[in-house]
Amino acid sequence: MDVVAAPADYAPANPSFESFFAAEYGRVVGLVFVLCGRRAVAEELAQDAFVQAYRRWSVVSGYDDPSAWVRRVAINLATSTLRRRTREARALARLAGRPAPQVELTPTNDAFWEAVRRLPKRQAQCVALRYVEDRSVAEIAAVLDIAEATVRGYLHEGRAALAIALDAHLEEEEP
Amino acid sequence: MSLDQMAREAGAEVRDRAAAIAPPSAGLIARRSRRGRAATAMAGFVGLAIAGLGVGVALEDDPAPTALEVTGDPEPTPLLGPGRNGWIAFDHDGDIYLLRSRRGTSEPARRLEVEGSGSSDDACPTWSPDGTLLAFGRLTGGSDTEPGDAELVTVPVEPDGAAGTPNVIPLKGFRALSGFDPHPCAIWAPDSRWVALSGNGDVWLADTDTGAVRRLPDLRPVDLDWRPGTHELAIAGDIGPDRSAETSNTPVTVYSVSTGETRQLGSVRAYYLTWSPDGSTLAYQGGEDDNPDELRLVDADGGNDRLLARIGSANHGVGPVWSPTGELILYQRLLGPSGERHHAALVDVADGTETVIDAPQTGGSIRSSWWPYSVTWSPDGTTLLYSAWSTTTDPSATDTSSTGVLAVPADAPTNTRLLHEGSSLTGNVYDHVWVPPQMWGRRSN
Repeated sequence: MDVVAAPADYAPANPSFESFFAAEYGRVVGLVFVLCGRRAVAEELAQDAFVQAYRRWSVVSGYDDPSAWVRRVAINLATSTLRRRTREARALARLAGRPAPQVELTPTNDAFWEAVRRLPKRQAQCVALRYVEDRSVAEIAAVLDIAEATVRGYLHEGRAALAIALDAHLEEEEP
Repeated sequence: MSLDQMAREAGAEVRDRAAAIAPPSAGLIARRSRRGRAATAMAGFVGLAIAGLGVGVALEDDPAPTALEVTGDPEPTPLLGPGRNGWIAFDHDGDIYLLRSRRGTSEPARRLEVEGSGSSDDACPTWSPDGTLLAFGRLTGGSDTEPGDAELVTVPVEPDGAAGTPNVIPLKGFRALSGFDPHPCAIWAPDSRWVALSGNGDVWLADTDTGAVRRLPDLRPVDLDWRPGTHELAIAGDIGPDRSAETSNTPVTVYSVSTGETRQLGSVRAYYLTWSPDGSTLAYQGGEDDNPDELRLVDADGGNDRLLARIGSANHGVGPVWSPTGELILYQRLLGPSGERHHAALVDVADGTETVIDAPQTGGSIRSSWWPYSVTWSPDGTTLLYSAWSTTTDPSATDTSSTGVLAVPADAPTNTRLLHEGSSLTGNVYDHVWVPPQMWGRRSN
């Protein structure tokens, strides 16, 4: 993706936000992409989440894990179909005049992620956080703001459903 | 492979690709924060670039999908005016048939002999604009509960009706929306090379020269129409996830198959559309108030939107179809508030006046009235081709339903000719409503 030049009147009032945004943006786009399957929508949702973080940066920056907060916001935005369609329309508009993105997100094993997207939302979210971001149960619980036992349940059910859908061997769950 | 191994590999791949994304400037976030979340207005002609698969276009036959290749400035496709009336193609019980409409002859329809047709279920034939190729949808390996694998078949047809070597394009994963005819039914682009069809709620595009397939996801269009003289496909409507879902009109998206760009056509909202034969004007049914009664015109740049006529609604058919001569627009209209009996009607583009064509009748002392499933034009623009069902005046008839293909002169509908009578024809009640099949080709000897 081309880097869009900053406006002349933009002064980096939040240098820590800049570095946070630069470090986390791609990862959040990737996470949302596997949940919604649409590159442009994923970028739109990710940017919306970072806008919220930007507005609350004085508070969010003080969290133990601001990246978890942004992911929670992005995931919540991705779960709303209505919002997703609205953002799809906006995404198309925002892409006006921009050259082709240089990085293709569609994975070679898109069948796996298609199966994930067919899972109930919470199961899909837990699976995505587990395997895209390699997060532990505790970290997933922190992102989604749910109990760790609940995460373990969602992962168990999600993995079982995926094994059936993809005709894959289900090993004993990793801790 | 274990699920965990599959999942770890899938996750790592996404992680690696996402890590390569260069983020936009944080200034973008600051600007959006100041601007709020107001949706960007899309009034007028707005050029949108989705090159690079930004909205999920998939290249089905490319094992390593890459950014959509921009092929450069497309060569203009020829504008084909009215043509000569050639072979008529229709399907019957899983086979494709050809016949000619010639007064004074009673030549029976002949089955199109195409490799692979004996064991497959073929339907919805449609002629390329230059009249040299016939495309149709094919299902193989199906059962009572599953439609089977979908393929698009294109075959050259000689003026004498002989079929050449078919070209088969697999449509991996194709499924029609629930409740609709399961065949892939295509509509040819003006270049007689690309086709478009709707399946799984996506718009599918196939290059019949190379076999390449693309998908534009989640559109569930009611209607598709290629703009004459261009490589542009207009897409309208949202038919919902299945036949029972409510159909709604949508902004019209115009997609260029050669550049991958999309644009929205002004502020048009439509679910049926048809281009003028010179590609300058779009006629559409829909409107801001989701009003099915309005037939409107808009220039190709999205401007000059105006009402042409009020035309009622239909629950069969392929929507309005512009005549090859450019003077008339054909549409179907329900006779009453419900049921299936439609009339065809012609709207004069110049002034919006309308001519209703009463149900064509055939037979002698016992008459059959024919009600259209779908109606399209002959290449010369003089005759309407009905795919229709009939009711009869025969009081002794135990089976009053029949289907047929009829040629109905636009200016003399009483001179209707029943070309073929039979069952399982294209254009039945379960047909795709968004595909106006060009059943009448330009060539025959």
